Amino acid sequence: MNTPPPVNLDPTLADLLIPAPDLLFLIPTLLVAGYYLWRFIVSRRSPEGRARWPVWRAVLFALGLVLLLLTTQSRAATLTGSSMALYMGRLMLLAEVVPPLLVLGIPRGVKINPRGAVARTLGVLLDPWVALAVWAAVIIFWNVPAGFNASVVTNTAAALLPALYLLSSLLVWSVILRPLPNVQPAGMGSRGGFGLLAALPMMSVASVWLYAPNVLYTPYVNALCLWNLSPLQNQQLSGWIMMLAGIPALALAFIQLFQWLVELTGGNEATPPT
Amino acid sequence: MTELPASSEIQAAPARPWYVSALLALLAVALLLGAAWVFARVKSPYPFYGTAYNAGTAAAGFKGTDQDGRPYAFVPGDGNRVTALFFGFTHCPNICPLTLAYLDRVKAALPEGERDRFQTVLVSVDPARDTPERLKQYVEYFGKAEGIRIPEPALSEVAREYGVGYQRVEVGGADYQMNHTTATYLIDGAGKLRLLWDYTQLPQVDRVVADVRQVLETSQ
Repeated sequence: MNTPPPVNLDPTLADLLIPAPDLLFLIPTLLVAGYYLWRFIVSRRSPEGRARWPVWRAVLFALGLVLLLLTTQSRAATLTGSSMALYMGRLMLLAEVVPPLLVLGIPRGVKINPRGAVARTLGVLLDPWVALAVWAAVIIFWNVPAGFNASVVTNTAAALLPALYLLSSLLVWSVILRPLPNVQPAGMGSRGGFGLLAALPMMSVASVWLYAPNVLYTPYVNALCLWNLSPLQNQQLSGWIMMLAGIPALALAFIQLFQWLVELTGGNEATPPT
Repeated sequence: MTELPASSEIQAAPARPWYVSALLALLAVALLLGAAWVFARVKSPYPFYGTAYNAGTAAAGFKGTDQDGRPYAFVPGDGNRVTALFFGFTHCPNICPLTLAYLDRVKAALPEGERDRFQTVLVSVDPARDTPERLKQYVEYFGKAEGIRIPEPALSEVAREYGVGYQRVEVGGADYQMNHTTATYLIDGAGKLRLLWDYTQLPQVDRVVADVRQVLETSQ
């Protein structure tokens, strides 16, 4: 932890977006952005490349990167101790908005040697079991009050948690959206089931926050809150933020499950000629 | 990352047995938690109960008036003393008295040789009402601490240096209250900010004492 910035108790959106560089995120983000831009420009040289990598994918990827930079390189990141809602809003942007945009930005038909180290590593990381376990561990270990107050957690939360939310959610969204099918064996049904399971830890935590009559996290019990909200209001607002942020993934999981059921019952088969 | 020709068939990887996936999942979680532990230890080799600052974070000095009405200058690390600093006010109904009481218990729990090197400093966030006389009464009632009054605008400068917020809140039918940051900052004998405790951590006095002793030993 660095020396904390001054606490402005009523910050405007402009105050929240004042740049506050965080090299842990900035350098990798710029490297990824540079690599993506280079490959995108190369793909423009052929009609096949343009077909595989349409502009809308690049736009979504760029939008994801902009949101990532706004979330991690602004003063909002330094005020989360005074607002659980701001803290959760920031984490939810990193977990439920930035990752799908980045994953949707990956062009189709990416070729990875299935016997190479990259494919093997991705094959393990994008295994639904692994992605679900890592995601659940991040959500539970750093959010359940007993864990939240532990020495390791308090001393790593500010520095590590945003990165962990982003990376573990990238795994989850990659399993759901399946951008690399040649290293991702999961079919529609298992992806839908996985999405449903992955949404459960977050929805459970959100429900507890929404309906708990007391402030559950000791660092926020008597925190001096931004925007004149009480700690309990902050907690309930955090519950709403988490629940709303989780709804798109949950809806997608149901769609995938129903699509799988339709395929299972032959609903997509062509009508035989009479 | 390269792209397939448009005509290429994408071969899906074969699914691995569920028990292999489950084993990999357990391994991934163990690696994740292990990495978090290693990160915490690299950041601070000692497992502080409080939240540790990055090494070398300098604490800010300040000037004011103490509870005896004398000019007071806080020079971080002066006399190789370790300081528990917090911001409060004497009309505070619970947090400030409890903080003072817990810090007094921490001091009492230290070995005699270390006790003299540990001091508690309360900076008032309500200089309008907290006169030196009132501060003296307050800090002596709840333990032994330095009660410092800093007039505005110097107070807001000091608060900003420590990331402390405070605001006046009108209470219906009563005198006003002050909302304020409830952290206690531990400053070592070299004048560096070492860690902070949220006030809700202070009841675990033995763990706070362990933090203080570690800082006392490492700032000789």
